[in-house]
Amino acid sequence: MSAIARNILGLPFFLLDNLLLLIREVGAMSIFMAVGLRNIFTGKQAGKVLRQIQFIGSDSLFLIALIGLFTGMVLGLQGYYALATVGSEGMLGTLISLALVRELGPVLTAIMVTGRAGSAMTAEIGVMRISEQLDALEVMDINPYAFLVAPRMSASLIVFPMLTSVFNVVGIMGGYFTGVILLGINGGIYMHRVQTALEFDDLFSGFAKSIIFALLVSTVCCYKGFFTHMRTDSVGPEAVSRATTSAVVLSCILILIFDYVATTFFMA
Amino acid sequence: MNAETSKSWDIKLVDLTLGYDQKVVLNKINACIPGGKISVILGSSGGGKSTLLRHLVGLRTPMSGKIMMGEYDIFSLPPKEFRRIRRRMGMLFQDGALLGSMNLLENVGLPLREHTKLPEKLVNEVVLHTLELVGMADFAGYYPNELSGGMRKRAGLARAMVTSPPILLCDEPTSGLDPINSAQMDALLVNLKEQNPDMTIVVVSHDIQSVFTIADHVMVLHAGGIAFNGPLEDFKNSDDPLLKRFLDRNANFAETGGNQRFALPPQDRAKVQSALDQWLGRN
Ligand SMILES: Nc1ncnc2c1ncn2[C@@H]1O[C@H](COP(=O)(O)OP(=O)(O)O)[C@@H](O)[C@H]1O
Ligand SMILES: [Mg+2]
Repeated sequence: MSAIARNILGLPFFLLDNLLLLIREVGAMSIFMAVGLRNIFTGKQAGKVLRQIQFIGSDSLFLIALIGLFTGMVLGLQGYYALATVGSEGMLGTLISLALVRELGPVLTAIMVTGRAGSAMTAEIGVMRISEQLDALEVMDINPYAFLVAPRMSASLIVFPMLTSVFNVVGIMGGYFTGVILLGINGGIYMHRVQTALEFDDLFSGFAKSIIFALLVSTVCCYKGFFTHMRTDSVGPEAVSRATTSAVVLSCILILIFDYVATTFFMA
Repeated sequence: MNAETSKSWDIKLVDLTLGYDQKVVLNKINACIPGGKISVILGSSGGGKSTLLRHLVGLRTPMSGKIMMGEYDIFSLPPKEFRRIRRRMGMLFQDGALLGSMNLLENVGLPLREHTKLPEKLVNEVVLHTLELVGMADFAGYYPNELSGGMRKRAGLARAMVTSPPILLCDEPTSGLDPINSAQMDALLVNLKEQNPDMTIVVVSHDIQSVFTIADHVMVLHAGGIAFNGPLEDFKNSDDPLLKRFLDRNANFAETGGNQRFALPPQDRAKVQSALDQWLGRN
């Protein structure tokens, strides 16, 4: 039997194996998330949460604003020429504000924060794991979920919606810059369109998405770091680097999948 | 202190088998580590000393058998009860295991800050006092990666001591320390014990020198089992050839250095040498 035939015959088993692994991983992460959330008010959280807010939030502010600005600007450019073909440049404000608030704001913010802060969460917790720091916490009767995971979760839940708002506002200003200042749309009309286009549902769905993403990113990134020592593909520092990579990749994939699911849900 | 916390517990290992996945490290060992004494666990590197300590504090569960602390079989206790027992233990990890993102003041004070409502000023006082005991008070503001291995170890000991645990477990407190610092560390443990007569101290070591200075009780791990478990006097006077090897470092070295499982034929040695010579001469 040729290798190809063998591979094809083995494929169902391979898929089944991986499906089982996937189901187990999803289950483990859900439990991890539940335990993390349950510890959100355990012990002395305020100081730790503030530190995480500073790290995940304040320190990402400039980056998020920059990305928001350019996203808005390029949307303005693309949107203007697309709308101009049907003679409705005046709708630019509607297009930009809806695209940002409903989709791009929450999604791009989450992805950027994953790359900047999520990866750091995994690496930091992973290093603590392989250098016995997590064991030391346990021996000191310090619950690592309350000490490490919960503060990162609550900080993410607080910070993601805020960063998303910043992204949206700066993005709309970016659109204003290209649309109004560079391409000469009437500024009053642009802002009027923004104002009338956005309804409570749009803001709500964007807000809800950013909350979902906050949970996803903090869970996945903490989980991957927390179980660095359980990796079968590598040990030591290499395991930390692989954990970090897989946390970022998985977070981004999940952000996009859940975005689609949430959008379907909110649009219905 | 109530009655429960003031008495010192014996630690009994009953038919204990420890290991990782399929690999058995210690097989069916039975021993008693007496409470209120300094016990030293000796054994060659890789003999399972750290593994035993990790099980004593419940970081891993044994493959079979049990560990009794006083009358408690720690692995059959409900988690809450177990944690109550574990609060009585302090542990110095082999590499200190200090939290990398905190300086020593924060690291050593961590258990107090997390578990008590003591005012910050008082916590700092206690921490500085404890750091002073281990000779690290001048480094309170330093982060672990700014310290040498020996200093990290001493700070790790301070962290283990800061809650005054009745049971203190130390993983190789003197390895990697220079003779002066080793002697200081030994003196520190003896001193600690003198001030807390009820304290049970278990020290893992392969340093025969410190055994004589600190031990009341000695346990020797060898080849997955226990080669000796008894008072220091018996250990010193034993004429078991295996124990003699532990007692005499040079013999021990000759033993491992002498066995030639991986022989290096002369022509290979020459090849390596000429390759190295080439490298040394290269610009
Ligand atoms: N996490 C681990 N996974 C698998 N094997 C391990 C692990 N840690 C230690 N071992 C093995 O267990 C044995 C005992 O190790 P250890 O308890 O660290 O020895 P030591 O007496 O030097 O402290 C060694 O053979 C080591 O290879
Ligand atoms: Mg060891």
